[in-house]
Amino acid sequence: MSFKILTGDEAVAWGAIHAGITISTAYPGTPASEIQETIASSGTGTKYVWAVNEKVAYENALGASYANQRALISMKHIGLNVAADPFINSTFTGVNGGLVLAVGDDPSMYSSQNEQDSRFYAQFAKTFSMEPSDPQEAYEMTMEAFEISERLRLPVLLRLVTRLCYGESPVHLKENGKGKNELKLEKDVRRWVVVPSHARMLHKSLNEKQKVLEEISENSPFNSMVLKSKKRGIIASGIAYAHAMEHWDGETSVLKIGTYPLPMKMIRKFMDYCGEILVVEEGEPIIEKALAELSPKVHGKLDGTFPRQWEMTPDLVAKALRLPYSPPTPVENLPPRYPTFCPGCGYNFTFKALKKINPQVITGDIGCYSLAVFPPFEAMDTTVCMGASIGMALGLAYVGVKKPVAVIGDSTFFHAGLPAMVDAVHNNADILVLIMDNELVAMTGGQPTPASADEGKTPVTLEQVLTGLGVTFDVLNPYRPEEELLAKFKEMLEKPGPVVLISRSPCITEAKRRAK
Amino acid sequence: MKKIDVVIAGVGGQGNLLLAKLITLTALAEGWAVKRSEIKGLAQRGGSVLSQVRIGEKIWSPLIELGSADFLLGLEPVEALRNYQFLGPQGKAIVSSNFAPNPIKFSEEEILEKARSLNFLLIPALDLAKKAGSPQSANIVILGAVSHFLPFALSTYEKVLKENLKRLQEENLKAFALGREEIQKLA
Ligand SMILES: Cc1ncc(C[n+]2csc(CCOP(=O)(O)OP(=O)(O)O)c2C)c(N)n1
Repeated sequence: MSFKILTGDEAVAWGAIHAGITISTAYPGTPASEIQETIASSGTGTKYVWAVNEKVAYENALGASYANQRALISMKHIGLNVAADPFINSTFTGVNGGLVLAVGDDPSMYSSQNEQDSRFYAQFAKTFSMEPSDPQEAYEMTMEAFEISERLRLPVLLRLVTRLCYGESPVHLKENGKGKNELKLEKDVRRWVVVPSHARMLHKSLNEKQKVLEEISENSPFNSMVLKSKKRGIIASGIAYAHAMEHWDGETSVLKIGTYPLPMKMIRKFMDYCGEILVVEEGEPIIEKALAELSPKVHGKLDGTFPRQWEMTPDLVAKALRLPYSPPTPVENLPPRYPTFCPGCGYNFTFKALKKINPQVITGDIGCYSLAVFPPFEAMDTTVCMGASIGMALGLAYVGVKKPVAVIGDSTFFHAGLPAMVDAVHNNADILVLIMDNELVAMTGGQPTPASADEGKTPVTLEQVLTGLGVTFDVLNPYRPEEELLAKFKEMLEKPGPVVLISRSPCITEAKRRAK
Repeated sequence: MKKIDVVIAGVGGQGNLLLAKLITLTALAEGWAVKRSEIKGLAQRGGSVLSQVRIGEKIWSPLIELGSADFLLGLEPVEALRNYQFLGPQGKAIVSSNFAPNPIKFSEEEILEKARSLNFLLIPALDLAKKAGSPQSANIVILGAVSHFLPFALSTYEKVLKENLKRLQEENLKAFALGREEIQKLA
């Protein structure tokens, strides 16, 4: 055993490496990107792939699992919306090699569009999930998740949250990990081809597995109970357990939850023992709902003891337990600090020009360029999810809005803009697509796009793709004088049908980082 | 139970995360339990960055409660004021009086006045870092300043600094010494 100071993300990466993964696949997204970054820089030579989007990342890992290899997939919570289709169906097919899906939820939305709770996805897909409370547990759970995955032949979901992902503490690591599985192809079309006749049987066998899932949860060392006071008990899961324990008086009974489906036998025993119960969990009141059916003595988010939205904190626990809590009043009227484009970034000039052109409507997308919504630009009317800029511009054009402008980044274009672009051409939709090409995924820390010419990769350029689609396009250099930018915008807007303008300026922050 | 909770406020590019890491490593080297966490959302794009370091015999939550921090370290006065709520009744705020660029216009004198009224210990961290020969080392100046109050040996800081800062070692040690010297004039 050795020990290292690790964040939750790093601990998951090392857990996967020590569990003998052959491959790690991911699409970047805060707070989960650092899982794959850690594997990439681990010096272990573990293969890793930045897929074009989360769905493809999931399918890559499932393919590896089919060949009996262990695979890790990591993404942020909303990435699982994109990967939901293969994820859910893979609980029907099951897996061969262990398959673990690490998902980073973002309660309080420090860097996200929503704060959905990934535990629902595991429930929905009827598979096993685990929720670590600190980096040590993240490491151990990840290794155990691979064992459980192979035992159940199901993908296992690791639910992480921002504070776990970016919280750091010492972790005891094993000296040696497990070796890799043998590469083998065992074909079984009744499992792996989900035509209706097969799928019907697969759903039955998935339902039959549920008893085993419950049994594993019931016996898992990651769930534990301290029975003390009969008056009051706390049930807490994941990082919320750490927040609750911060205020533990040494007397209150505590049930710690780390695995799902919930260990209901254990919970019943705890509830029979204790009077009033406080449920402390991050995200939706999932545990609380299960308990509220058993007893009216349960307190949490449903009865207003805790707020329904935003992250759990030790502060909220203190208030719920009526402990002394009186922070100083905040200092008012401070100058705000808006995040904005880095000085010198080409985005500054493109958006300044676009604002002057003042199109009727600008549908936006997700990336650094989303910051154009703030002053001084205020040049973005919508931002919904990756790829939505083009899809929504199409809808606007279909109902008669004149030349909507869709603004989308290069990585986002490949991720989810491409299918909508195909529709734009096919339907001859009258839109302008402005691709903000900084030649990488900037917002999440500089990961490569499919156009990158990294060693051993074949660049798939925007020009190649657009030429293949047969759409009119041009390239804009945002560092040229503003009259030139304005003239180019006007010229493109006058052309009928779908047109694409690529504003190209390599990310300067990343260039600086690499120069260091 | 003994504990030391440190909140570090600043903006992207000021070395907030490094400062938190150096405090963490120093505390660990002295045998304490430590948890560190950070929120750096849009740090690279000039946004606020907040680190929390919790030091004690046993630490559960990585988060510091409002009204309970023992130290509020500010790499920038506005960001320090923005996080004033963290400070506990006996807590000390050690804050740079040098402002980070912000396109929003405001009166710097009013901000500093507010900081003084809340008993912030203000030191010109950036000016001192420049004097030490490394303008990026304002974070190390603040480390030197807080070292005056933390229960760790000087030799431990020195060892941690040498092991973790490969470049500009001389300048950083100087920045540390200047911060420590400056705070003694105020405290
Ligand atoms: C489904 C989904 N996956 C991942 C993310 C995380 N994410 C936010 S911004 C972004 C970067 C997009 O890169 P690009 O379009 O090239 O824009 P840039 O930041 O480089 O300007 C990503 C991956 C997300 N918001 N949604």
